[in-house]
Amino acid sequence: MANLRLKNVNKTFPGEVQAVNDFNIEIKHGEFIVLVGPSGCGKTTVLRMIAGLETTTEGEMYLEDILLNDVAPADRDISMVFQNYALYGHMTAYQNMGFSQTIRHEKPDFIHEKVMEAAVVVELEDKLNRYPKNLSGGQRQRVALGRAIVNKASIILMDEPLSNLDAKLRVQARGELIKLHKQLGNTFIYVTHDQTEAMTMADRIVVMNNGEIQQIGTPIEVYNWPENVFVGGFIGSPPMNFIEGTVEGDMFTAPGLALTIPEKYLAHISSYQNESILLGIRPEHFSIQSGSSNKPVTAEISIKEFIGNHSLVYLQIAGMGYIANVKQKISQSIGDSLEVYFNMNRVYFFDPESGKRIHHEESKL
Amino acid sequence: MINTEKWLYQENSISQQFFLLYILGNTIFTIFYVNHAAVDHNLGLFIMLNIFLSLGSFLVALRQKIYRMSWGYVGIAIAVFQLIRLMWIPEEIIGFMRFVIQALLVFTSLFALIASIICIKRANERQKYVIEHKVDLILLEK
Repeated sequence: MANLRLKNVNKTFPGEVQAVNDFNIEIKHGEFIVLVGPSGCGKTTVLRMIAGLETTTEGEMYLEDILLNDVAPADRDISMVFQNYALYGHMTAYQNMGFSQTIRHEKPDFIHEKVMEAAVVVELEDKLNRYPKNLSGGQRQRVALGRAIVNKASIILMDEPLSNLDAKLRVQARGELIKLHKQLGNTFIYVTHDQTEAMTMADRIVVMNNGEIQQIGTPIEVYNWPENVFVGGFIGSPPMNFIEGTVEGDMFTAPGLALTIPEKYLAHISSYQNESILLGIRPEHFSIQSGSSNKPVTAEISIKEFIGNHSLVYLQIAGMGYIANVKQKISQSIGDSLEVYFNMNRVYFFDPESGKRIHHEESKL
Repeated sequence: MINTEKWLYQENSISQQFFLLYILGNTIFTIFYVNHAAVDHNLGLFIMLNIFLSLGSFLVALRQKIYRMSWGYVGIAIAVFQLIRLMWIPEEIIGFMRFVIQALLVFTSLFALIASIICIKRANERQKYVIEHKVDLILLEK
């Protein structure tokens, strides 16, 4: 059992570059945590600080009750899988996997036992004598994972390990990682900028931006109840549509739009009467079939993409761009008009200045 | 009980290290010999022989590292040759230096012998394991 606690962790690089700002999290043993955010948001820096490859400028990190700040990386009971796998090219997969034990001068029989156990887990038994150059990207990634497993560390850190794989292999590897996590029961801390990876693999997601935590929650929580505009826009593909408008009575008005606000929201946004407010609506909450209490809005189709089981339609309403994800195949052509319905029971309201979501529990879907 | 399976993946580094010790000992022997032997055309031949021997021995060390049984026999030949050289020590090398040179030859011969015997034994058992367990040769591909 090894719970990891990061308390007020800060990292400032020379030149006063604040990479991580007041990072707080408690990670329970066996959790699969995914740090997600755009490039340069500080997620890899957090991972490297946990691994001991970067020092913290401020704050404490505890593994159970042990303060990790001054513990050497090798003594932290933590393994790391790097983005480029960092395999030794002159060593076979077997030697790469057993390397950590070899430098600890473990007996050959012991090393063999550990490597073979790990090889079974990562399904590489028949490729152990291959050099990395003779392995595919997915196999190299599994060697790197195997090396982390051989270490028997409580925590396995992964820095975008799937980013070098093609789309098909990435989907397969994602499934394998989930299976592996269940099998090993270790704590996985995984860094990615791909929100699909985060949503599919995580027990909890940590959304980061500009070195700060924006939201921590389960994939469902982060998707359904985004804390702010950034999370709403970052999680979900295609991203959420944001419309700046005004609350007038029980109506939300914006250029080309006059939408009735459901009663459940009115109490929470009463202070925004006749003031500016930001409405967020996910693409899947548009529809082209009647069923909403609102009147349809006439939009112009600027692009349409038929995906197979659904269609993405890029719409223009009074000069504003929207993306709708509808189940039906769109028969109209580009430039034609389309009547769309806003599902107002599934919208979010945000404060336009702070970007924070205005209502909370009541809006749970 | 020895886990033979590990030899499918792990290198025979013990043989390699013994053979590297042989090369080291032989180099020291060469230096001592050259410093104390008479300078004539035989000394030139002796130096050339030892250069080739060192290069060849390095090759043997590398081959034994990957369980090449035939190179085990080459190693034994080198060990025997090292013992034969005991009879070629010039008479002008006397006293303690003669003893040191003889000792170096005996020890280097032992190193080469140990390395080669280990290599042959392991290569044999490894081969037996491959046959008995019907190990797919793809497994051994690099």
